[in-house]
Amino acid sequence: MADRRLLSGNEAIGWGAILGECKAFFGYPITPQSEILEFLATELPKAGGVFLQTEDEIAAVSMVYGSSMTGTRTMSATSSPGISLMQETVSLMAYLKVPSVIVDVCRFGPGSGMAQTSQTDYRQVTKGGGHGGYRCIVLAASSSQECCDLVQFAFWLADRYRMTVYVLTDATIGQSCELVDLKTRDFGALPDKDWVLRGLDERGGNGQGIHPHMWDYVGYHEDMNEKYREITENEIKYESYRMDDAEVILVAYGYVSRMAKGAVDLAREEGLKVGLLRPITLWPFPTNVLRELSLQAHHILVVEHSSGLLVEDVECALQGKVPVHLLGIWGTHRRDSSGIIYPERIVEEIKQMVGVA
Amino acid sequence: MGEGAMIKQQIVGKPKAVQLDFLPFKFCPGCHESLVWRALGEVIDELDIEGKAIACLDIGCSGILMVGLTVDGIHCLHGRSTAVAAGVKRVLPQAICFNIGGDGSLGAIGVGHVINVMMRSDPITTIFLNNSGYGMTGGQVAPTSLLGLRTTTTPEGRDVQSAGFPLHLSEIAATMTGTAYASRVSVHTPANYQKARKAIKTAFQKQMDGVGYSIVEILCACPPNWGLSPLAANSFVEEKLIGEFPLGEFKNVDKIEHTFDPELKRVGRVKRG
Amino acid sequence: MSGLGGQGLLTMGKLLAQAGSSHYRYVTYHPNYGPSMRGGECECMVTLSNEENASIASRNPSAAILMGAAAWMLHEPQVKPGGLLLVDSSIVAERTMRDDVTVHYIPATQMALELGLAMVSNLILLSAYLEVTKALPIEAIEKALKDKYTGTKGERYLPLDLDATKLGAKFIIDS
Repeated sequence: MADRRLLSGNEAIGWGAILGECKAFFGYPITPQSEILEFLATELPKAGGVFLQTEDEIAAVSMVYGSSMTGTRTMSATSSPGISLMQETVSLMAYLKVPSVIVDVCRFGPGSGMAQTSQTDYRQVTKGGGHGGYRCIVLAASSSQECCDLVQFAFWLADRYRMTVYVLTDATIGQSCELVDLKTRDFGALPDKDWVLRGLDERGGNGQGIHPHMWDYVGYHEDMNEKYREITENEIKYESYRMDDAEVILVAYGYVSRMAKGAVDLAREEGLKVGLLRPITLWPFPTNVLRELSLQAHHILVVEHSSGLLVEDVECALQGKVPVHLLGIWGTHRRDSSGIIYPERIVEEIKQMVGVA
Repeated sequence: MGEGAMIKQQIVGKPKAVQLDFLPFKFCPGCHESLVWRALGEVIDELDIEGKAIACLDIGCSGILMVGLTVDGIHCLHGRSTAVAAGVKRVLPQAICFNIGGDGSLGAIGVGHVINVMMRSDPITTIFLNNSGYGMTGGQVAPTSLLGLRTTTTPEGRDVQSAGFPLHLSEIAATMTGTAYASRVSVHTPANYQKARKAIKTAFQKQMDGVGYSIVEILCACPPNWGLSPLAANSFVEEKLIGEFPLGEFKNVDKIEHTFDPELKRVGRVKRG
Repeated sequence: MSGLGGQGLLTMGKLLAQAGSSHYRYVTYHPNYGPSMRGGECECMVTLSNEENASIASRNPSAAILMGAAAWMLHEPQVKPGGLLLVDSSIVAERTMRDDVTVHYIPATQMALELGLAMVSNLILLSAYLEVTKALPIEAIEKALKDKYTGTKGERYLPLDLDATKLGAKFIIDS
């Protein structure tokens, strides 16, 4: 029988790291990410990996960089302000094509914000995050099971494309517990890591880690564009739920997508034809999928726990052909940071939108 | 190119770990970094660690050194070379990891990482180049700039009210339990050069013996930013820099002694799933 | 389950979820709390189901265990018609005006204090909930408690914990 356990999203991320053969973790505590740190402090050394709590997120990501350079599968995890702190090195890793996995358990922003749930960092992670016009793959988990599976997938993608892959969750997914099948996932063969630096005795050679594109910056951007195109062609992942005859399409990710799923069921009970598109890869975004699905739809409702960030990508995909509505952070059940967008609230919004009293 | 080839032809010997692609010099005339370059090459040869050395190069003139060494090198962001070296060492303990940075990298923007590797006793080696100012960005005030020294951002000279007092990193290192070795050297005379070489060798040896963190602070002349000729800059090291930054070994231990109270293991929180 | 941090709400929710793991195919435990460890508003929602839980939580739960005045204000009107309210009446003085829900007023904190430890009020309420709904046998909670605390600092309270789980169920049977 499969190993099935009740795990929080954060613990499931820790398990994903271990099953994904992560051998080094560097991180700094921040609510609501700390359980990842606490879990790996105990479990990673048992699995033969290195764990270190660093002095800050900058040190954490610097060590991720150094460790990944040696070819070691390395991860860090943080929450929104920590992601901001890491951006300079994420940009450097994009430039030097160093794989890494970074988990963002999103909290309420901007600024120090509050430790409770939100989705206010969509734009930050999906548009690269730092300077230099690079991109990172972003995987959005919506359950504990997915936390475990997507971290493993993130390591594979990072090694496959030599880039940073974010796993984006939120305080709700991070803290909520669900049953998880602990399974090692196999995503296929990976290219040889012929670029690592481990000293001349092993592999490597002077200069590999310095300025590979110093004399051809244009070439760097051309290479990367080609790579981004390949990823967009091959790696888009999404889930569509009760979409067959849907006239109203909800678009949501993370914890909100779970609430939206609940809303779809509630609305269907009342005879409303509602479906849900849940992007799993936020970058690359399932633009074409959405465009095709929208042909049958009268309304699109984007639900997100922010002031409207995901909605920009949706509008961009639909190019004004279908009206796009937004239920944003004002849909939460209370006005302080403990607010949650509940399924019932989404159903109200759908009714208002389609004109059912 | 022709000039470089000519210089190469005149060289009769060099450390194995020194790479001649580096010629002609990328350093300014009278810069002491070339001597640090040679000393590092000699030490790497002597200890026979070329194959397992990994250098983490910070931003600034110190980063130029990388191109001059044959060993594996990692390009690091400003101030982060210490943390990167610590990260490499954690996953590759058999490597000899060292980082090179100036007073801007390690004294200002990245000083927090330096204090933290000392605290954690990460067995890495830091080569800290102190030239009393920012070199590559063109002579701004650094934490190590001498009081009264004119810089592009302290045009009336460094004053205490706005820029405080010079930073003594080696002395700080010596107060930290996790430090195995801390010394300040210079390379402005042949005798001092030999001492500097010995200090770098001792520092690497501490790492190889697994004792703890080691740091060598090297006073370096920066003729263009000091507005002095190479010769005058050399004398400036002797006359002014050493006055503020005395040379010597501040800490040298073969074992870091420590005890801990076993009772403390029973206090505090542990989380269980 | 809603009240203040320190009342054992999250522990109660996690226990229910853990105990439910071996009886239901899908289990969700969803906590929501502020930044302070003790004294802040705190709540969690547990869903036990044999059908896949589409949603992680709902605004209108079928049952609520309320352990504070603010929790009462927020959740008393929200429980589904036909649902269940369990209230710690040693803390909450209010009485519901609704006639479409079943209510049990249980002086759980008072009972816990008489048992010797205020901290077990959560278990009194939890076992009362199980006695009313039969969502799980009480033994499942007892097993979860033993699994959680055997070999830890909390082990010395285990006998008290088990007494509390009996007390809550007894209160419902007697009432």
